[in-house]
Parts: sequence; structure tokens; C-alpha cells
Amino acid sequence: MHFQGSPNMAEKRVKLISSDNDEFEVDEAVAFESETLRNMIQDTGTNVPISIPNVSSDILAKVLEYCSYHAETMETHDDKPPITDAQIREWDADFVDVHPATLYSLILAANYLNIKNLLDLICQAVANNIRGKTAVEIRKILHIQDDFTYEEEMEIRRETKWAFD
Amino acid sequence: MMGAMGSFDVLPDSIACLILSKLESAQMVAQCAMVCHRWKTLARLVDTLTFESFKLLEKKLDKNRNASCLETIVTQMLLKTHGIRILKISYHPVVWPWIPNDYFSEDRVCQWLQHVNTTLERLTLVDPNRARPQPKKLLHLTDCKKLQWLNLCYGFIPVLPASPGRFEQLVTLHLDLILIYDSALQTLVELAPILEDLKLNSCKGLRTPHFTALKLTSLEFANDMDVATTPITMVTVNAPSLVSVSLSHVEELVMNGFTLQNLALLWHVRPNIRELPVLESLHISGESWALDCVTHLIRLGTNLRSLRIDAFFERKYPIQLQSLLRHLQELVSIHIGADFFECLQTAGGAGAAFMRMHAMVLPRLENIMVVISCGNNNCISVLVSLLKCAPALRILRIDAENLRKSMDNVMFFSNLLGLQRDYPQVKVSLACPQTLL
Repeated sequence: MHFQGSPNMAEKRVKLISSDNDEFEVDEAVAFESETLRNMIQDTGTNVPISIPNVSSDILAKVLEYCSYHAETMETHDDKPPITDAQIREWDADFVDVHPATLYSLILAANYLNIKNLLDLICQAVANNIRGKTAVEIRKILHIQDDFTYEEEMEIRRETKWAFD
Repeated sequence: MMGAMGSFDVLPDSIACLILSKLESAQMVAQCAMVCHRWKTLARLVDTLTFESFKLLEKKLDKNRNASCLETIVTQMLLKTHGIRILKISYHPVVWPWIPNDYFSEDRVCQWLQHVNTTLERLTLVDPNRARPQPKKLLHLTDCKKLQWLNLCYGFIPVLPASPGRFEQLVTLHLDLILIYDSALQTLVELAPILEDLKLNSCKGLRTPHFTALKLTSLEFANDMDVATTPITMVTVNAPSLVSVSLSHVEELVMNGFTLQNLALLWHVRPNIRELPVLESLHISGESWALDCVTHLIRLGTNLRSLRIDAFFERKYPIQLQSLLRHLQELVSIHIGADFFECLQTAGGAGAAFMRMHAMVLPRLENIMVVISCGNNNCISVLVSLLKCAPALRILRIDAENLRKSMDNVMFFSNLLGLQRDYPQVKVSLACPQTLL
């Protein structure tokens, strides 16, 4: 799979290997969106493929899609108008519009690869998903087991009565 | 696939906490604490909390005890947290007139600040007390050593308490609706050595404030909420890094304009500025301006890229377009309001000889917006002068919504059509009442 950056940045390419042994090749600028990869590349150079043992192909593909878009937004082209913040926001909103399971895998990948903007973006998306919901609804949406006893629950309700009226 | 990978439980605490912190609202975080044991612990580790009275108290009928209601909620919740970086506590009374003494107790606020003082970075505090000064609160604020961003709304700051600490990290200070005296503002600014952004909105009590702020880049005196206030007589600023200034309800401004790039004067201000060598944007609006002040500023701003004059003048007199604008070789966009256009228009019909002698070219000018109230021949000749001098012009917008009824109007419209024919590369757009078309 290849992710094309702009041709003038293409001198250096980086090879990445996912947990299921698929190989990805991207521009250095794309890999540099990740602090973790940046540090690795600065240590070992671009000749050796970098293996990312805890990120699967489908998730890594998605992460690299994010990185290459955001690396592209940083570049300036004479022939194209610059990408506006509104366009970026729209692209980001589409990007996080995926199945929750994919979101969690993306969060873990973004955390491991240390891509702060991506981590922020997805955390915000998960937060937006539960905003305005009650505790019962949140458990349902996120598949979380209620492990409070009846007494504990009553206790909390009494303490924070103001939040439930 | 809702296996192990599909569940929120796979997320480590640090990330789960990041997600809950993005909820901000205290009410939501309290709901989250009810989800399960793990979330109860996580809810105490959020770094952001917002307490908004209108959300938290909307269903409370006991309107007499609003401030203390919110006080109880904040105390209960905030004191259980560890590591709040961003805190907003906002109490807006809903009944008018305000109930006397319906604000947070100073001791309580101090207790909150003390609890977060090692981690707090951003604070918004809306506490409707203008009755008495709260020096202890200010002392506790200076104890928040990581505080970078502070917005206080309401309050009475006549003087600063003796031997206060410093706001070593404070970059942004916004004061809204605060009664503050000149010397207090001066001391406050001096206590914040790296302050970059100072905004005072609808504050009272200032007469002739003067202060030194070495890192200040943005200064704003706004007046959104209380138009009846007496204006500030004079603001004197010594700020060698200042980039943007926006003033409203200030009568006189004294400053060195060497680094200034943006200047917005939204109410008649007599500026006492000798040089504006790097000014890029000048915006002047509001009532009762002296025309001299405006032309003086335009003359100083040799590097202006954007000029917007929609001010109204106390006394109007004719102004020659060429002599006013010819030095603005960087100008990209100009907006000429009704009063200002009238001044240009009265001087308008310069003869051909004058035009030749004072030929003007504004090579970068792309956008022109004019507001026209009288469509006579002079008006057309001003427009022609503008079109002639601007080879890069793309858009000419004409606002004639308030065009006076006149026999000349038919002529005016046909002349405009003629202009569009003569300058096909310029997009001419006209806004006017339907009845005139």
C-alpha cells in the first residue's frame, strides 16, 4: 500500500511493518506526524523497516491516512489554494465517523505512536458521543458493566443529587 | 465485533481520563462517576471542570439561594478532584434586580483556589460581586504558580493587597465588568512579567491608566455590555512588543506605534501616536470622530494593507482621494463608509489637469467597498478615480441601501452599468433597495 505525499518531499521514504506483517511505505514527512516514529527514524535512519508490533494493518492504514492528510495540509503549493481550517475540520469529522471498536483501536495506536492531534481528535469524538447522556445510557453505549451495589448507587445519588434532577 | 477490542475497558486510565476531561461540564462528569467503580475514580482525575449556573441550577426554584447552591456543588465536587488544570466557575444571577449579597463567599473561593493551586493553568471565575473588594482572593490567585490564563468577571479591585505574589506564568488576562482603579490595574500588570494579552471589557473606575508591559502583544479595551459608562480619559501604554490594539470608550491613547500591526478604534479616540511604520490593518468606526484624527492615522500607516473607515464625523469637509491614499502602496482592501465617502465625494470632481499631476497607482488594491448615500456625478468620478488607480482590482462592492431619493439616481445607475462595461475584469456588485431598481 502506498500513501503519496507531494513529489518534492519524496526524497526519503520510510517502511513500516504492521502487527500482521503487512508492509507500508510512506514519506518521511508523513511518518514524522508521529513523535514515536520521528524518534525511531532519528535513531536508526530510514533504511531499516520499522515494525509496529501492536498495530494491525487496517488500523495502521487508517492512522497513515490521517498522517498523510495532515502532513499535506502543512505544505504550501503555488498552484493550489491552501487547505482551510474549515476543510480540515470537515475532513477530521469524516475521519472519526467510524465504528466505536475502530475508534478504540485508533486511540491505542495514536497513543502508542504519540500523535497528539489524532489522540485529541478521537478522545473528543468519544466524549461527544457520551455528552448529555445519563450514566445508564453511557453504560449501554460503551458496553460497561454496572458494578455498584444498590446501596453504593443510592449513596452516590444522594451525594450528587444536583446532577440528576 | 464487540469483543475485548470493542470495549471502552481496553483504554488505559490515562486515556479514559483524557476523554472524561473533554466533557468539561461538572454535571456530565458527575454522571460519569455513576457509571462504575473505575469511572468513579477516573472522574476525580479529570483535568478540566466547568460549573455553569444556568445549566446546574436551571430547575431549582429556590432563586434566593443560587450562589450558595452553586457554592455547595463546586465545593463537593472540586475538593474531591486531583490535578485540575482548567477550571471554570460561572454564576450568572437570573433574577433582576440582583439579590444583595448573592455571590460566593470569599473564604469559599479561597478554599477552592488553594485546592487546585499546584496544577491550575486556566481559570474563569464569574462571581457577581461588585460590592466589596476581596483581597484574599487575589492573594490566593497569585499562589497558583502555573496560572497562564485568567478571566475574572465582576469584582471590585480598588487597590491590590499588600505584598502580593507574582503571576509568573500569566500570559492572558481578561477582566470583564470589573470596578478597578488606575493604580490597581497598573500593579496587576506589573505583577505579570510575561503578560501578552490584556483585555478589559466594560470595566469601570479607570480614568487615566498608564502601565508598562514588556511582553504585551495584544491590548483591548472593549465595551460590549454597558454603553452608558463614562469613557476612560487617557490610556498610556509602554509596551515595546505590542502588535494589536483595539479600543472602545477611550478618549485618548498615548503610545509608541513602532511595532503595531493592527489598530482598531471603535469609538472616537484621539490617538497620540507619532509613527506607525508596520501597521497593516486600520479599522475606525463609531460616532463623533474628528476627521483630522482619521486622516492623520492614514498618513502614518504607510504599510497599510487593509483600511476600513466606517466612522461618523462631527464635522465633515472635503478630502482629496489622491492626496489621502497615494502613499498606501501595499493596500489590498479598503472599506469606505458613508460619511467618509461623502467627504471624498465633495472634493471629488478634480479636473483632468489635477488628475494628471497627482496620478496615483495602488498596485495591490484588490477589494473596494463603498457606502454611498448620494448618487451624483461626483460620486461616479470618485469611483472612476478608484478604478483607474487599481490595476489589480477584482471586486468593487457598492452599498447603496441608503441612497437618497433623487432625480440623479437614474443617471447614477446607468453610469454604474457603464463602469462595469469599461472595467470587465472587476466584479461590480450593487446592493440597493428594490424600489430604486
